[in-house]
Amino acid sequence: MNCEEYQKLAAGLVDGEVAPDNQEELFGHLGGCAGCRSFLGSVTRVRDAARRDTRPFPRFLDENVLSATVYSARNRVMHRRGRGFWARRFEISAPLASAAVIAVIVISLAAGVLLMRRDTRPEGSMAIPAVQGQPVTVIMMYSMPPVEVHGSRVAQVSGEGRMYRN
Amino acid sequence: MPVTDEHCVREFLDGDDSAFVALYQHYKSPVFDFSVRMLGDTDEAGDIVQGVFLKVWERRGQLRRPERFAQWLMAMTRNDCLSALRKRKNEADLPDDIPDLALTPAADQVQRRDEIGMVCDAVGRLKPELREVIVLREYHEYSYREIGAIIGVDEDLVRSRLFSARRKLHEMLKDVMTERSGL
Repeated sequence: MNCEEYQKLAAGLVDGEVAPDNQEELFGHLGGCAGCRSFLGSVTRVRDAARRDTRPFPRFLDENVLSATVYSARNRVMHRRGRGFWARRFEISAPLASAAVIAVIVISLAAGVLLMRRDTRPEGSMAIPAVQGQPVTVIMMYSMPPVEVHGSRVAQVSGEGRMYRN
Repeated sequence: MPVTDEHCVREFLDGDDSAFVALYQHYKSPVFDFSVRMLGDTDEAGDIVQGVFLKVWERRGQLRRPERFAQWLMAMTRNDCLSALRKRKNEADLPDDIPDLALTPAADQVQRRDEIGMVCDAVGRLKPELREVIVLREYHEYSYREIGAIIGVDEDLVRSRLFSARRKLHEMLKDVMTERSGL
């Protein structure tokens, strides 16, 4: 091996990457080569200097980084929480929101009026339209809901059935 | 169960802001130190730190392997430093063979006479591709494999560049080192 190869081995020795067999050969060469000894000395002293060289971290960078990341995200959340429940969810103007509320109220009132006119038949009952002057025969089954015929009276009853006549 | 880096990274990826703060506190100094040694300027290094951690915050979804967070972070730092060096060189419009340290502001060119300062200055005079491997190996104690993952080359090339960097440092420092050691 030439000096360059021994110097590569020497660098590997500092990095902990030289096999024991090669170490013996390397030390044998270093004993007789000032140039390679000098190189090995440089490598170790560069490492020693590097391990002792520390740089203080500028504290102002902490505020800059965290403001741009974590604090910024948290501020967005807090800003949203500070607003009203509906305002956080719907980005609409106050007049438009008022008009929508009024419309809902009017529609609700109208629906309520309509619902009050519903018939009051018992739940599950059936309404059979009665034609004036014509009999309506209803055959009752046990499982059928109760039947009510408007504007008529019972004319005949047979078993479970009832005949209505207007 | 001790809290490991990987655990912290997973918490961060799950949306835990305090995990990001913990990772920042753990890695801010290595990122800053590497940037200062690559750029030779503390202000620019500060810009690199802010840019890198903002990217970590915004691009957390891109990290597929939490166990490689440190390498991912240092790779981003390294790329940003190289971009800054290229931009600096383009703006100065100097030939490629001019050492980068010649471009640093005068305030950072104070010649320190102690061994630590001389080594630091000598490292700053290396070409970026040699400087980065020396900084990652000697100042940050990364293995050949980790250095290869950060700079995107195989271990053999890392070993080759490291040897070249050490040869150049030896040439720059040998007379002074010999004088100091009395050899």
